[in-house]
Amino acid sequence: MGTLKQIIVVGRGPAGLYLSTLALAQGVGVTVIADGLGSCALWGGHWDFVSRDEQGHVVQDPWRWWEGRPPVPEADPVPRSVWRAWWQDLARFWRQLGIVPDHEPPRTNRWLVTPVGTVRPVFLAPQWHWAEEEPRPVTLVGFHHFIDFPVEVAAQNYQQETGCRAEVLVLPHPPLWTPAWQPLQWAWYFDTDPGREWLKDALRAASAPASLPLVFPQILGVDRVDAVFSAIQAALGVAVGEIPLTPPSVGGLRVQRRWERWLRRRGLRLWSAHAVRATATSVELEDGRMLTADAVVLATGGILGGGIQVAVNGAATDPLTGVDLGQATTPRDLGRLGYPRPEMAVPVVGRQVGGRDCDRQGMGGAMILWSGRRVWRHLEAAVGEEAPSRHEGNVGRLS
Amino acid sequence: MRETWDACLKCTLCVSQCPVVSVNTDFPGPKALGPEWYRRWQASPGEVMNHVHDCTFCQLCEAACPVAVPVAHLIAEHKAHALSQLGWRNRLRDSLLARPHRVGQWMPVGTVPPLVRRWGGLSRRVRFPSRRRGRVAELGPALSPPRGVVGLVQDCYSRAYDPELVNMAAALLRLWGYQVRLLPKSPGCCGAAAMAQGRPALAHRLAGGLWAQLAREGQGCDVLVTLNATCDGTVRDEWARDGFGLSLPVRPFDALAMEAPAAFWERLRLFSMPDSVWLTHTTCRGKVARGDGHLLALAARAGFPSVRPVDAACCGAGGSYAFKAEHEATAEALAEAIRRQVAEEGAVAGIITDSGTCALHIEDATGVATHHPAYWLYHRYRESLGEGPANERKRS
Ligand SMILES: Cc1cc2nc3c(=O)[nH]c(=O)nc-3n(C[C@H](O)[C@H](O)[C@H](O)COP(=O)(O)OP(=O)(O)OC[C@H]3O[C@@H](n4cnc5c(N)ncnc54)[C@H](O)[C@@H]3O)c2cc1C
Ligand code: SF4
Ligand code: SF4
Repeated sequence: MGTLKQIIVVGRGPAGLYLSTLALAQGVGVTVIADGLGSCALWGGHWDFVSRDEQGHVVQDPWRWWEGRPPVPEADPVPRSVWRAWWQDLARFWRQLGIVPDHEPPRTNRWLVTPVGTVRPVFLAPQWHWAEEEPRPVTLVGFHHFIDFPVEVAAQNYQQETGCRAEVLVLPHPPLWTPAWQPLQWAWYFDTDPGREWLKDALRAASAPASLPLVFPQILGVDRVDAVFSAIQAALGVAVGEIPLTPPSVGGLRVQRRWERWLRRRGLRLWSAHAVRATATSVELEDGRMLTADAVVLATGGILGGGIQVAVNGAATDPLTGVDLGQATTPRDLGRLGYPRPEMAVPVVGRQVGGRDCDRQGMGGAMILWSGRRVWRHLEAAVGEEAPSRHEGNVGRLS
Repeated sequence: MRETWDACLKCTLCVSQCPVVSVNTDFPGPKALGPEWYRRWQASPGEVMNHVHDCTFCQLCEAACPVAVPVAHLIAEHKAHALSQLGWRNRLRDSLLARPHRVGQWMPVGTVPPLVRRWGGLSRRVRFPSRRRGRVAELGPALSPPRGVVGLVQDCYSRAYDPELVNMAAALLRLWGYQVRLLPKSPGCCGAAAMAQGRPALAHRLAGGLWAQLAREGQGCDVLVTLNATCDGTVRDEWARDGFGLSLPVRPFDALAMEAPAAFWERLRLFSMPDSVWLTHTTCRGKVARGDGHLLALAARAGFPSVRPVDAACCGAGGSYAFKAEHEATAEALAEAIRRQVAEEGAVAGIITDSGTCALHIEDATGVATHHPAYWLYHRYRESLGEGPANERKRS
């Protein structure tokens, strides 16, 4: 048995980034192969623990909900202390990237405002998100012709759903604006010095209700969002937050850019290519090239990511390994398709793991965390590294 | 490729990665200019959109797409139908720039008088290339038994303006045990520039010409080696899809460099470099066709201290994009991110990049010496032999 020196990760979505980070943080070289960007920039950037139970009811205390429940049917439940160690470690790492305010994971789900003013549970959220333990009075800020955030409707719904006051402030649009602007164009504009200055002036001129937090649609910059937040806070002296919009999400893009920057600086090798076959130690690319490493991990994203193909008769297979992943008879089955265990023929992480419908239950983040940790432990054990003393939770820290 | 032309899911991931969208508030973005335009065009041909020519053809949109829509190629088709937007002078200019091998043959460039720039639709601020023809010394006997014959593919830019670089690369390859043949014998172009200019038919024709040349002249070679990332991506990746497959493997120079004999690396590492920051920039087309991190690994292996990647995905050079007057602001805004990073990193000693036009543009924006890895490896090796500038400085 040798040591783990070099691994290949197929897939560049959040699960691929997480596993690459675990490996690089332990000094293991990583080559990522991906034929697309993955889903990071599609979601708001918050990692959910569990938001809804199987019946669709809101879960307020995800720690308690997970007690005694295995992530997939064939696994053991994860003790609370281990979940805690994983989340804490992720939060500490994210803090290093400037993504979360605190290294302590939340004690319960918090309330995130949606673009239509309703609230939904959220767990580990970037500091930009307006996510509160208890809803409170706010000023919702909209812009003329900004259709992705219907601020009047949102305010009405917010008041109805939470019983808290929601003032409305509508700002004009900037001089450079055109009707073709999508949220991303707004965000890039606020990344510039003139954009930030314009926003400050517009807010001063609009005289926002004093003391209420200002909650914007999530467009306050991309790479320089923190400067925009500081500028508004300094100018008006109130708390500021954002509401993530429907995909694609500026929040997810911010996370992806910061995370990939960290990985690239640590020597991550990225291959832009389509894989056609994978074994535990090799990957064959579409153009015939073959890559080998001490281990291969598939973070290929399930049906949405391209990691699972479903035939007309409902038969699901992994195109890279040929593994039969069962049958989908109803559309609801699609969400659960995937490997029953993460460390099968070729280890899989993220959405490629089956058994739970992450999107319906809001547990994408938790499943990435669990499968990533489990596969990482498996890889280390398989090459004869000293096995972690008791549980996955003891696998090395990210930061 | 055609089966994915109409596959767009409207996820907008392409827009999230487009560098031009990030700096040009008028640019409608890849989704609108590519797949959405294409669907309308299929239903009723006729309409073209403004700002389609502002696309640099970096292809980063394509690399992001989950369903392999050839977004940038659809935009190239869109540009082809929108050439009249350019006016006759710019059309004339672009039909020249679409044939960089001819530009290189006929125009030594260097300084371009303001009047010509104005008349020809050329940027008034940008620096144009001037020929670099320094003497390139051999590096000594080969460090390895013969490793085979390399056909070194000269890109239009290096052949015309940087023959010095071609000779440095050849000297290194010979040092590593290869026999080197310079290809193609007469100037030819892979078609990348024509495609970026919105002339897909011309791109196809040029590609076919160079393909025939390389297939003929490459006989007897074991491998074709590219110097420029854009040509590499076009020849290795695009040609294969367009029916111009080559029987020889095509590999970028830095990949061969990573396989240089151990004695080469030992020699380089005998002399440690003064502590300083080095940046690597993989050109956007290199990122798309190959990926990222290769130059960083090469620089680290060669013992460059504190190597970091440039954060910006695209520098804005875009082949001849930055030379055009109407793209001045976008190209400068894109390079601004690199300028800012250089300022933040502190004293940056040099930047390593795999394209001549990117090097020119980045050097112009940052004031930091920016060159191809072959240039830096060559000089570093010469220094290690006691013949390079560092040692000359020491002696004086
Ligand atoms: C719109 C949306 C909203 C979401 N919201 C939330 C949320 O609010 N909270 C939360 O916690 N989770 C959320 N999720 C997360 C979701 O539940 C999944 O956990 C997540 O998308 C899975 O990511 P992944 O890394 O497994 O796969 P993906 O992100 O899909 O990545 C798959 C990767 O594999 C690559 N790939 C696939 N096949 C090949 C091949 N043959 N060769 C090369 N590369 C290949 C793809 O190019 C891609 O890079 C959301 C997801 C989406 C899409
Ligand atoms: S090719 Fe580059 S510049 Fe053009 S639309 Fe795509 S990402 Fe944007
Ligand atoms: S990334 Fe692909 S599928 Fe998504 S909007 Fe762009 S072209 Fe369409």
